[in-house]
Formats: sequence, C-alpha cells, structure tokens
Amino acid sequence: MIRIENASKSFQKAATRKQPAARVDVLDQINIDIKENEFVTIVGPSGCGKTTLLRAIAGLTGLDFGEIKVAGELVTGPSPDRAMVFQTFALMPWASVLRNVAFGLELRGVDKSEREEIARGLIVKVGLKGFENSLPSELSGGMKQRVGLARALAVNPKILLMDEPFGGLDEQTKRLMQEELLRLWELERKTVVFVTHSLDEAILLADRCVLMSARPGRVSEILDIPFGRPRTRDVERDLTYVDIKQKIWEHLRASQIEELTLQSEGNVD
Amino acid sequence: MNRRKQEIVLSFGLLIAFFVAWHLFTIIFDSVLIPTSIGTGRAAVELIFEIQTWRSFWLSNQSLAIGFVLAIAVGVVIGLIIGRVAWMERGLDPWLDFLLVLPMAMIMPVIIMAVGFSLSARVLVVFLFAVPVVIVNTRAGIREVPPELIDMARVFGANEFDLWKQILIKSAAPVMWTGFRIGLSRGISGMVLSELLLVAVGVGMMFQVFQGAFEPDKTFGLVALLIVESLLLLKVLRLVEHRAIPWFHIDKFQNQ
Repeated sequence: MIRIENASKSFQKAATRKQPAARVDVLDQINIDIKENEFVTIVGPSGCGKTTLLRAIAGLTGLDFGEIKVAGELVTGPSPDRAMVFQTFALMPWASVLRNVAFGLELRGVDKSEREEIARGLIVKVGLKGFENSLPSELSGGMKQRVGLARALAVNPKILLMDEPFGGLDEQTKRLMQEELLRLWELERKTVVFVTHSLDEAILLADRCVLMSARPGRVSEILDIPFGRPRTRDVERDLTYVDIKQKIWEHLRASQIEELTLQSEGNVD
Repeated sequence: MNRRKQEIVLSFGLLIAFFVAWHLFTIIFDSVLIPTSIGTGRAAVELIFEIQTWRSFWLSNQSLAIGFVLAIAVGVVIGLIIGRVAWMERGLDPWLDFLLVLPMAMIMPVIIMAVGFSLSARVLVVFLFAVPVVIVNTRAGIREVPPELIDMARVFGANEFDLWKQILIKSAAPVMWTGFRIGLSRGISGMVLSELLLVAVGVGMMFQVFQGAFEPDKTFGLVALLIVESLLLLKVLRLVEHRAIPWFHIDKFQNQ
C-alpha cells in the first residue's frame, strides 16, 4: 500500500557560534513497505526524522532522493487517500466541533447537509455526542484529539497518518485514547502509520514497529508484533511483550547515548 | 470583595483622584489661564448644546472616517501580502520602518504642498497615522498562524485560495483587530493634528479660536468632548470586533 524506497532528505543547518553551517541528514535511505490494512508504528529518538517521514508520506514535504508510492502512485502532494492526525490537534479555534470534523469534506465541496450528516455520525463514533456545537477551547485535550480523529475519519481515507497524536495528553487520557483507537480500528481496519515516542503505544497498537535512529535518520530494525486482533491491554502482561519492550528500549537507549556522546564531543550542538 | 468590585473601585478611585489632583492644582497655581475642573465640565456641557460643536465634529470626523477605512483597506492588503510572501516583505520592510518613524508633524508642510488645503490633505494625514499599525499587525497575525493549521488544511486538500479564506485570515483576525484599534486611536491623533497644523477646520479650528480668546474652560471642555468621542468610537469598534470574532473572546473569557 505504501512503498518507501531510499527516501532521503537533508536540511541546511544555519551556522552557530560553535560550528559552521552544515547539512543534516534527517532521512537517510529509508526503505519501508507497508501493506494494506496494516498498523505500523514508528519509534525513534527525537530528531530521527520520523515526523519528516510522515509529512513526506502525507505529501507535505518533498524528498531529496528516493520515492514514496501509495497504491502504486508516486506521492507528489496531499491526496484524499491520506488523512492526518496532529500532535497539537490542529483544530480551527473559530469553528465548532461539527465544522471542524466536516472540514475535510467542506474542502472537497461536499454540500453542507451531507457533510454535516457524516460529521455527526463520526462525532457519535468517537464519543463526543452533545458537543457538536462546542468550540475547541471548551474541550479537554483528549476531547480535542477525538475531534482530530473524527475529522480524519470523516474523509474516509485509505491511509491514516498519525503524528504522536497522544503525545500531548496526560497518562490516563492517553491510555484511554489508545484503547479507543484500537476499538475504532477494529470497526474499520485502515492502513495506519503512527509515529510515537511511547514504547507501550508502539507495541500495543502495532502489527509492525519500525525502529529509527537519529543523525542520520535510518531504519535500524522492523519488529513484528505477534499479538492477535482484536487486541486489548492484556497483552502488556505477556512475556513476549516485555521482551519486545526491552528490545525497543535498548535500541532507544543506545541512540540516546550515542547522541549524548556526539554532543559532548562538540560534533553536534 | 470580589474581582469585579475591585475593578470598579480602582477605575472610579483613579477618576476621583484625577479630579481632586486637578482641583488642587488650580487652587495652588491660581491663574486665569488654567482651566478648573468644574469650569471645564460646565463648558463641555454647554458646548454639547451648541449646533456649532456638532457641525465641527461632523466636519472633523469626515477625514477620520475616510482615512481610517482607507487605512484598513490598504493596510490589510499590504499586511497580508508581506506576511506571506518573503521577498515582498524583505523589499517593503525598510519602507514600513520609514513610515513608522516618520515625524508626521514635520512633514505636514509637504502634505500641504502636495495636496493643498483640502479634505484629501486631512484624509491623507489620518491615513498615514493609522496605516503602519494596521500593516504591522496584519503581518504579525499572518506570521502567527500556527503552522500545523496550514499543514492540516493542506493535508485535507486546501489550495492556496482555500488556505487564505479558511485559515490564514480567520486565524490572523484577532491580531488584525488589535491593529485596527490602535489604528483608530492613531487616526484620531492624526485628525486633530491635521486640523491644528494643516487645515484649520472642525474641532481643530474651534480649539484654536477658544485658545486665542483666552477661554481655557471652553478649550478644555472641547478636549473633554473629543476624548469622550474617541472613547465611544473605540467602544463601538470593540463591539464590532466581538461580533466579528466571537470565538476569540469566548476563549479569553474562559481562560480567566
């Protein structure tokens, strides 16, 4: 469904007092194949380019080398096939919940009664019934992200791109939202690419988990998560789960320590 | 005592303190040239009942109305463009700074030479006073649009036109309105200044006549009326703003 081949991208980093301007490889030769209806999580230290990769799949940013194909078609820009959920929710503060959820359809020119009917259905689905006319400022973080999720689902995309969607939420809300997402995904199995820095999230939700390392951003390993579906939080007590979590942590710790060493050597500021 | 009562006590307390201080000042420096608070109040009330006052205000406000509306129209367009197009901004930024630091009072003679003693001269002054802040705030508003909102709109299929209509202008509106409010008060300064230094008409002319006749009470009574009018205009603008961007004010209210 999504084929990422040799995806590479670098940014020009401005000169600082310590060092001259340099090119930083954010993505270096990334290769990932994501099957239809597969739930893939991407974990890595900050700065490993996971968000850049997601933005590239969304068509928000281009690559320097390599290509991304979705259903055989080269990604050149955003498409109705791909919807995104944002860490900061990205809700329009002036628009009601209903209008926010219907926004993707509005942009597509679906007429008002039809798009509001679809939006109302999704608002119920994500558990926000009764809040249709509320403004985002009147909602809690968890509720805002439910709106973000409903907005993405409203356009009925083939692919859902999620950029640390629960990263800004408190622990309880986050756990609740993960379970909600599992429930919603069972209702309709979409292809999901989910960027996170939470180990539990990366395992609990995924069919496969991509481990990335930073500078340059590379795929270190792709782990199969062997638990069946429908899945509940019970898998957290499974020994395999503990093993996988340990493995991801060791990887992350190694990357993190490498980063610290680089910093102390002054190679990176 | 709750917050609301504290607010009222503070603002009325300051008002009373102001008049007491004024009164003491006139007692200490006993001079016919210094208006008394009571005399000023009386003069202001008398002036309200004179048709000449209304005529003057009407005349003065013509330049304010035209100049301010023009400043918004032009300022918003320029602000939107330089807020979004980097090379336009780089090219126009020095000119914007120039406009902001321009000593308006000193260039009045140039304006007279350019457009003559006319309504357009006064309009131009109001415009020049108000337009920089409208531009600067509109640009700031566009710059402060959260980038994730732009990403979001793009992902869901917005083209450049949708982006402007649905995201950029709406998101920038609160900061733009701040610019309109500051622009209005600067426009009022421009209106008065143009009548004092440029074309003696309206309120400015009345002021000069009272001053020339050594009537400090009337002079200050007129100033008091001008202040009241300005406050009313700002209030009206506030009301329009609340209707234009209600979501912004609900937000602020709830975060208190």
